[in-house]
Amino acid sequence: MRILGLSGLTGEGAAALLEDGVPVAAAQEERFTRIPRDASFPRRAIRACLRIGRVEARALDWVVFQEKPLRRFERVLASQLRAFPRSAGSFASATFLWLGDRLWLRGRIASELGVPPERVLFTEHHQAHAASAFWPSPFEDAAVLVADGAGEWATTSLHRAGPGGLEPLGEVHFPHSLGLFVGAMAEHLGLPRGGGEARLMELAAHGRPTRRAEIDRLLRPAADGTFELDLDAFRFDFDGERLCAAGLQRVLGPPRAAGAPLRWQAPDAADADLAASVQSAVEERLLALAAELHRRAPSENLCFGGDLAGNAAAVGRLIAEGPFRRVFVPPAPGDAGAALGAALHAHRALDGHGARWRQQHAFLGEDALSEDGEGGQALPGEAAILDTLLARLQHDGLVGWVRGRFEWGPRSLGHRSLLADPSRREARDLVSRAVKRREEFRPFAPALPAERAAEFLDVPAGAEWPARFMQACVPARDAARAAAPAAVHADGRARPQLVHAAEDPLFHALLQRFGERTGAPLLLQTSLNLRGDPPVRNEADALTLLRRSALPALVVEDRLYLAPASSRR
Amino acid sequence: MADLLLRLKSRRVWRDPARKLRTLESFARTEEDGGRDIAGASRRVTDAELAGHLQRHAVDERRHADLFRRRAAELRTARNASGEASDPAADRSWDLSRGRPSTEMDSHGFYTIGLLDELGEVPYVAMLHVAECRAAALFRVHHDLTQDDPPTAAIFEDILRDENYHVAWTAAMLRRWREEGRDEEVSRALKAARASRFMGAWKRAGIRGAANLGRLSMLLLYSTLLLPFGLAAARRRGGSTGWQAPRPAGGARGAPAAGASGANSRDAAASPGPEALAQLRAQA
Repeated sequence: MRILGLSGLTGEGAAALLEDGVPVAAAQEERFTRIPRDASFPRRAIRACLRIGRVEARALDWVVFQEKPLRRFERVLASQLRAFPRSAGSFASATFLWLGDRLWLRGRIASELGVPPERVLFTEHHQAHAASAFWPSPFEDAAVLVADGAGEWATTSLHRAGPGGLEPLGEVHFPHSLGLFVGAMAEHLGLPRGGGEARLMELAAHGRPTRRAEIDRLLRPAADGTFELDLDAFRFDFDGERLCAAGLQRVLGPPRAAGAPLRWQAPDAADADLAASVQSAVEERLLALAAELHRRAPSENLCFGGDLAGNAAAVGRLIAEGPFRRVFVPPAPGDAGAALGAALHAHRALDGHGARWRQQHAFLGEDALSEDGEGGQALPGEAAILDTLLARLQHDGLVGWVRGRFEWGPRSLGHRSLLADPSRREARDLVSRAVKRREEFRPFAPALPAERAAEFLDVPAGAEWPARFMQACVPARDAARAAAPAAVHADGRARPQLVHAAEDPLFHALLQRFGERTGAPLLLQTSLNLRGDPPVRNEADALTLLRRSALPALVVEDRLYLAPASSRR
Repeated sequence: MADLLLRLKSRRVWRDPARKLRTLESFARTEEDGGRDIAGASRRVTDAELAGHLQRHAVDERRHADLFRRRAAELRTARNASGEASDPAADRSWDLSRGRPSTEMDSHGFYTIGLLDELGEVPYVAMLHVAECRAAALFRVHHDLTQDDPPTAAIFEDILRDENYHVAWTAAMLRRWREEGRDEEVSRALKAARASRFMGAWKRAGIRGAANLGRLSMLLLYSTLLLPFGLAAARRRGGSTGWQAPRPAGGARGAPAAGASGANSRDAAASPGPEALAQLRAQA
């Protein structure tokens, strides 16, 4: 049975192709259009998945979209009316958009793909998130927590999962949403739209939660583990363009003006303190939700999906302080991942209890080599590739590495990566100046062999899976601070990638060889992209980056490309 | 008339610092997209002369992208230093790229990126020729309208020189093909390229007109027919709080959950077959 899962239009666009329950391809639209978190219909991602799977659209058994459009429209309409008369402008735009386009999604998908409309199916948004979090996990049974901006009505949901399937237990409904709350606070802090939530988490590491009292007025905890938002402070229930209302200023003061310096370092760390207060409140709400989930679905295992599962600091705290012994977060926990979740859910629903696929890696995208490759210097064999990478790291301190299929999800995990020697004090600046042009407060992350993790990090047993996909912050030991100061956050934690020899032998070997040379097998590993761009898709993208940045060298599969001498440092 | 409207609209954009910045950034993106396409095309064509022109053209487009991007960065830095607040309306997309994302429009206003493989050599060069003629005309307008900002005007002046070369080389290629006996093919390709531009503009005008009319109708509906419902609904803006029971597919939205009980019949995965399919088919 071939099932294509889709997301887009209301969240990040992506496609995932499932063959007899096993994903053969999955990709986000942003990799093709180069628009970060592109929410357009995932035409290019679909084409890529079908190409990789060698399938024509008409051979698909089902196409599944990750949301029930009519139910979402019901929520949009009700929310607009509840905000009467402030919603006059947004009502006209929202209803026009829905009536003119999104309500006819079945027809649109059918005509885009050339499949009969009766083959187009829909899952609930949180059902798709829950499926993407549980079915790929290594667990036979689990409690499943989904927290994001909003699906149809649900913003947070609890599920019980076992071999028989997923059973929803309870939901928190729109507009009370942790995801939208974090988005609004990112807006208040003047952080960029899309990605602002992640920056807020990173900013929080530099501050202290001195404003918890005000934050708790905005995000009130309830005795049953849920929460309630002060809606006088927000307008996201009816306006997608501006999330914060005047009431927020009355509580927190004026927002950070565009262009104003971000206050994140002593003596004035006011913005970082606010971010830390938001982060700590969100973590506590998640812990309360986890406690309630554990009460309703007693299990040792937690599967966590939805946008909030991308908050690595919160995941780290759930592992350390939550009631579950083991945690799984899929590599694409956000809306893109719901495309795969929708397909997995449909497969289980329509094909019974066939073989279950367990996620071992995230390399489900397109191959690196493109027709636009320009040659480069050949590197014969894996030994030559490793020697070259090590030589470039020693000579330049950093190198781009592109190979195999690109990663599913927002994180690069060694296939579209920028590697740097983290022992150099200037490594952070080097990476930032040469390629990433990242804000100074944002941290980088280390990659290290899984079996050596305990020497450098305090990785709890429950973090094994999230750490494979860089989904959890864990405390760094002194050895990590000494060996890789550039990859340890200001709060003494790190968001590691633990590399297993069985899953990625080449990257594992590189780390080992680097360790033999320097004494510590840690590399700074970050996605290969310029600021504001998604990670590179293939060789052609990587070569464009090489031209546009100050990256000195790039290894693509078995080819070495050097930057023109004039642009080298 | 069209040029007059363009001048009026462009004047407004160049006078607004936020929109000016966005326009320069979007020009950078579209020039870069164009450069990437043309570089790809240059590697696919078999004609050496055409490949040479395309390679230089691609380099030009990338250089233009750098010029626009650098100028935008300068303006952004100056704007940030002055502490000017960003206007969300200006930050939407009403710049001179017509507010369309680059995924739907290519750098020169064609609906799809002119893939050489899809079009073939003659239609591809014809498309480039028509687009470059238009781009040269547009950049002349922008050059005139940015005289109060000499660095930006200088960029347009610089780019205009390249655009004139692009118009000239594409015209020369088409002339050569005509002389080789492919007159009809060239004429057909030029006609198709112009029609594509015209159809694009026509569709955009139609879409925008229909959108405005639609919004107006919705606003009327909101303030008349929906008024009593809005007044009634406004009293419970906060919606439901606490745990809600998941709604069975096709049923009414959940009432407050009973508490610890997890029993629910909505588990489609546990019941494969027609019922599960019906639930998945439902859009509500």
